[in-house]
Amino acid sequence: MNSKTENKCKLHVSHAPFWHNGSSVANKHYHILIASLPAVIPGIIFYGRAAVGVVTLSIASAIIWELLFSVTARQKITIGNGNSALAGMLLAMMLPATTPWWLVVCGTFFAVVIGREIFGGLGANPFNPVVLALTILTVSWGNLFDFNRALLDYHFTAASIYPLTMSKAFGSAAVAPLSLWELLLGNMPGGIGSTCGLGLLVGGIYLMIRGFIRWEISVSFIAGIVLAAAVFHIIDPLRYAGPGFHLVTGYALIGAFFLATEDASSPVNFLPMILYGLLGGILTVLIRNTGIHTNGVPYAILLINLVNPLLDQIKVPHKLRQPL
Amino acid sequence: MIHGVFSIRTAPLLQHATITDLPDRPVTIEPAGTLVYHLERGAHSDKIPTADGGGVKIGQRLFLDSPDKGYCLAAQAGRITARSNLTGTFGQQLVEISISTTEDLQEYDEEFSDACRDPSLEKASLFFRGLPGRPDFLPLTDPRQQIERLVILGVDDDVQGCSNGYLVKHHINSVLAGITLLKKITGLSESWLFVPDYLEPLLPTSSSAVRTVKAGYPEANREVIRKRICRELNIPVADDRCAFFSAEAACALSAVCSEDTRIPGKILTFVDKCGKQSLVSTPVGTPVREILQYFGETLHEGDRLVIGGPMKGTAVFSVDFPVSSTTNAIMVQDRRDIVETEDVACVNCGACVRVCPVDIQVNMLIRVLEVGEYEEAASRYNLFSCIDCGLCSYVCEARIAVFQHIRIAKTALDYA
Ligand code: SF4
Ligand code: SF4
Repeated sequence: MNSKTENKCKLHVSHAPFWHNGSSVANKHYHILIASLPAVIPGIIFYGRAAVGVVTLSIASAIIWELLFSVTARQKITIGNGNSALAGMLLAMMLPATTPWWLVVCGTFFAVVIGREIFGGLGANPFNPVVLALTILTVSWGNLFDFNRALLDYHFTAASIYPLTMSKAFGSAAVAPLSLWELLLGNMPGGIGSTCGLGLLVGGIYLMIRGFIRWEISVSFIAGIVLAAAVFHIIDPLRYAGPGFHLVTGYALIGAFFLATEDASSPVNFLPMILYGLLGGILTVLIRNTGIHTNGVPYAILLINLVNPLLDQIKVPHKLRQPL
Repeated sequence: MIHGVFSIRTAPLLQHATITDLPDRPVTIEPAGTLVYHLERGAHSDKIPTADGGGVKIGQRLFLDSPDKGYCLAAQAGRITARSNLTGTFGQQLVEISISTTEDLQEYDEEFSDACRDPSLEKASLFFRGLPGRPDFLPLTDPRQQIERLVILGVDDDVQGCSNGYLVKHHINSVLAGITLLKKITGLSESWLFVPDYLEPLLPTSSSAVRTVKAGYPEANREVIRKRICRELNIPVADDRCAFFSAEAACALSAVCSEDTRIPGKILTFVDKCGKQSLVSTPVGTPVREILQYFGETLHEGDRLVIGGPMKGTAVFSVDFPVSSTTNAIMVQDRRDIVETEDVACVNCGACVRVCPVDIQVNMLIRVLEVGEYEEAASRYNLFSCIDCGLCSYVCEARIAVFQHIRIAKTALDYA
């Protein structure tokens, strides 16, 4: 080995650090996908083929939308990082199993193209793309989101009417006979993967412990719901259901673990995260109890996405001095 | 400093290498006839260092315009044979000079010998800065800084280096002799010695205050240690009045100021492609090529050669780069083991914010750095409290070169 032959080979010159802990965006997305399974599988078991259709169509069409966008915009093809697959999965989890195919395809278009790509792609979206898409769908085709009508063909043992509609229309007494445990198991009408609270809880706890989502957001979001619901319940126990009911119904748990925690549209520092989560939880209950919508989570999350840039401005004191 | 969710993960993810894994004696590598030094060049300098026909003696200072900008010490006597211009990592203008060492000419530079016989603060600053471990007396000669305490670091600040740990474990007496000498030179009486925690039982009870440093990265970072001292003394961090010396610098001082005035070799850890570490002692100025040759390591297209450790080192493009007075590690990486950085936008995952030991809002910082708003980075996002640990890049999920952005910004603002 003399220096002449050595010098001929080009060395890889780059900058420190030369080690990496191996984490990657793709890895995280696949873990979140896996964590969603405990909630999706019970839904698939209950709703059968229809649910399989919605979930697979949703994932596939989300990936295809991203691919089409990348090709037309001449961007690097990044469908391998799993972000679109995840968006498709999360959207399907919130849709009823009876959703028509065209609505699913529209939904993933809104999520992937409108919600994410036109803002600059992964990391640049100001709103959670899935929530944005869901909101567009509910506003535009609200009739198809009537879980009661949509799911008339199925037989539920605990609640056969969407519990949030019941509590909204008839007050908390109407939902009092529903056992929280049955609701937690997902024994009620709702989205494919958003009713089985137990599954969501398992997935969410896994994600928090592995650090794939920021636990501060999930915990404070739940705390916000519990706090606000408790206040309402104390003021008028007959009209307003208790915190437990609010937690296990609607999109509350999927919101806490899978939606509010979306990276780009949520804050990163401790105090902002806590405020963000609390605000989301409180807004959810406010919208449910005083607004016209039965399911407050999507609107609450869009609203906290909106204040996220403000929250991230909160100054964090730094630990060391500035050098002289 | 790396903590997990809910702080469940109590053990840090990134640990400093420990000297107990390495052999008791370093292998000695003697350069085969050539030493190389990189000197910093002033704006218009074209001088060849040294006057008398290109001959240099042991311990002679090598510099271009004036020694104020920094100098190297010739580790062996010889003749200057070649020079060429180089550009450093952050655009520094460097001159590379080669010295062909000839055996019959091994005599010491008089000024250097004189400084060794009777080291005063002024002479130490003028003649000892090129010794292994780079003892830096400049803060002590600056009257504005009012240094009150000596801090001896028996720890290495990058994860793969073990030079100081080795000296604390096997040559503690010369470290302590060096501390005594430093106190004599500087006239200070307060000294603190920081050693890796697993080496503390080996230390003889001595006069200097001994503190232990845990193995988690970046506990051995100078700024983290500075903060520890200030917390212990209950003084503001801006008021620390510390002068830092590495244990290796203390050893080198005690060696050159002893009877035989020998300049000791630089101790460094060589890490081969499989990650195997070996301890090496070699004169400052030895080209890296010779170390690779000794270990039979061949570099191929696309491999990476890093001078320094994995977190803070510098990747170089040529095996002719020399071992410098602060090179604590040399690392070779196979091209298949390299994790490429990517040119993508931050996904706001927050990993960097969790890991940053000084609580910088790295996710916000990177946004302003990417668009070149360095002033705002400094004024709003505490750019200058960054302690250069590199952890933000290490954990970045999107694999952005966050640390490099930070270093470029700091360099740009320093020049401005
Ligand atoms: S390099 Fe600076 S910004 Fe990055 S983690 Fe270390 S101290 Fe924080
Ligand atoms: S780790 Fe990287 S991707 Fe994550 S917030 Fe920090 S800079 Fe952004």
